[in-house]
Amino acid sequence: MSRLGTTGAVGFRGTLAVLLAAGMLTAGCSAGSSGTSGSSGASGAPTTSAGSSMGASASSGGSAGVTASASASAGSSDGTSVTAIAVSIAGGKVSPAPDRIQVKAGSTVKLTVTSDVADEVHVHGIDKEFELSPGQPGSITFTVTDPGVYEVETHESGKTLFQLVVR
Amino acid sequence: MSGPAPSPSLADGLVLAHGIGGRQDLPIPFSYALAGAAVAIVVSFAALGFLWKQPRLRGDEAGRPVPGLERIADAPATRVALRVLGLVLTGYWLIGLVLGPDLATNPSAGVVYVLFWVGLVPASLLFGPVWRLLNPLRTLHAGLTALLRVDRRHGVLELSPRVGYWPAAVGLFAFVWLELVEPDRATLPVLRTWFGLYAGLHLLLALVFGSRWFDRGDAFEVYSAFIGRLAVVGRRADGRLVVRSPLDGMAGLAPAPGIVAMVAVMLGSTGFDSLSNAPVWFRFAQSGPLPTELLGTLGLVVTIVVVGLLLTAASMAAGSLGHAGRRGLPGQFAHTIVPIAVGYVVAHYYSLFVLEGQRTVIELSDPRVTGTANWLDTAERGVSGALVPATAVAVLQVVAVVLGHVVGTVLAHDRAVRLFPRAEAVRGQLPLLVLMVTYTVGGLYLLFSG
Repeated sequence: MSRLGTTGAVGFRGTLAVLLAAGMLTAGCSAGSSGTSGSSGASGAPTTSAGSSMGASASSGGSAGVTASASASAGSSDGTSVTAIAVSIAGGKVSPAPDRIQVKAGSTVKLTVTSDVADEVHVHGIDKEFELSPGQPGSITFTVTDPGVYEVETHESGKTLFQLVVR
Repeated sequence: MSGPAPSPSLADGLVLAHGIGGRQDLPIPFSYALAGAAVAIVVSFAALGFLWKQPRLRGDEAGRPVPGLERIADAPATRVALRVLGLVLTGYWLIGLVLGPDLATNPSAGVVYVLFWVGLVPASLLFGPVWRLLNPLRTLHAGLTALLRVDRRHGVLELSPRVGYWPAAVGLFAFVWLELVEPDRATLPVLRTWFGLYAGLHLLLALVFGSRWFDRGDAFEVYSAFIGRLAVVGRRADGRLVVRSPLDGMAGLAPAPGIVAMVAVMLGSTGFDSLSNAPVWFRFAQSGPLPTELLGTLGLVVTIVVVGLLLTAASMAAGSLGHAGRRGLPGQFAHTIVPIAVGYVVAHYYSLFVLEGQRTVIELSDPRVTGTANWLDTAERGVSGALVPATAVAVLQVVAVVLGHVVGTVLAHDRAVRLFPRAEAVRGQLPLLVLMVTYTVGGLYLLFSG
């Protein structure tokens, strides 16, 4: 992966790195915003806009994770956008494949989960839970305020569905 | 088509206990990781070139006595008070564990994984081997031996010195396995079983081998004692309570069998905790045919073994290059891993300790989860994020990892110039330097990606 490549380059870019280090250590840590943007490419969370249609979540089943995108973001970059996330679980497989999904602090997330078995979904850190009946999409809407990584998982089957990365 | 809304009872938190840990830290910015790695590398080579050429650290011979503090610390009243405190805290924990319902708002799991396990690190860094003084098992054992009128210190069998720290390393592995792999780690039946077995086994072994069993066999005492060597207060070889450099304290940790395993579990388990949180890991773990517990166990074992093997290989290579032979070398350098492990623990668990620690203290007001109790007057409080602003936490994480690296490097340098002939000392240090840079860059990489 490219991330391995960039880490390996540390030794070669010693001079640059030392400058960066010196700058950070002496002038405090004013590099917050530039640093954040540098690492956001680490996660390939899809953010393609698909309007606010989210009823299409129930059908994808156990096919390869390529078909469904986990996130369909509506609205613009201001803090009031609603991010719709649809995940389905079939035959023990989570689709789309678990990854990180980036959202902005202050935005609202509408999460819809469909499972072929009864289960319970838990959003860690926000402490939201909801029950799932087999084949019935369950959904929840919540607002994320504090930056951080929030794990979303199922309790009965113990699957990690995705991690919500709030910046 | 809208799914069932969360019922009020769910919103109140009356849900089945499951995981510890809510909000996790954002990955550190790449520039921070890069800067941290650069500082680590520069400091390492600077240490090689500019640090002292003769050994300076005197380990347990060093330190300035503080008679006033010593009188307080050694007063029988202090010792008794600490023993009582250990029993009271444990008893309070047992209220929720034994009598409380198995709900997420039961504080028992938070007490174990946050207040006790993570809190042991700052407590030991400040005061030294504190768990030795509080350990309720030691107190129970003392009580039992008094009742049975047997010698407390010596049991019926002599513990072979060849056992060393192996029992503690095994015990620590059992605990980190519980913490990181066992899926129901936060449920009461699992906690009751684990700690019931742990307490029973150690009391039995202490009756057989005497209270000295705890010195080497109790995972938490040994963990606290290792980390406590970085405290500025400590015991000199002559038993005096002294103020000393953490470097001297750490250098005084004598090699013994199992010490490499012990530090490998310390560092490897935290590394695996980071690794298992990365999408690449859980995608892999959930996609394969193997049960996640089995994969988790394998991942944990492999991480610990790799950490231990790297230390062993680097120390042996250092011994070869430094013309000091290879035997016993890994144990001679094991102490250098402790500050690295501590730096990584601080980076990894600081936010958890602040956030979940507050939550646990709030829940502790109502250990039986009656919904009305407010014993500690904390039940009405909320969890504040004031101490965990994202940028400051990222800086703290990098500084902690790099500081651990710097301390480890200096310790390795001093040990190298002590063990190796002067002409070979620089060359002999190279493998250790590479090892530490590997651990540190690896740690920063995990903080960046995991």
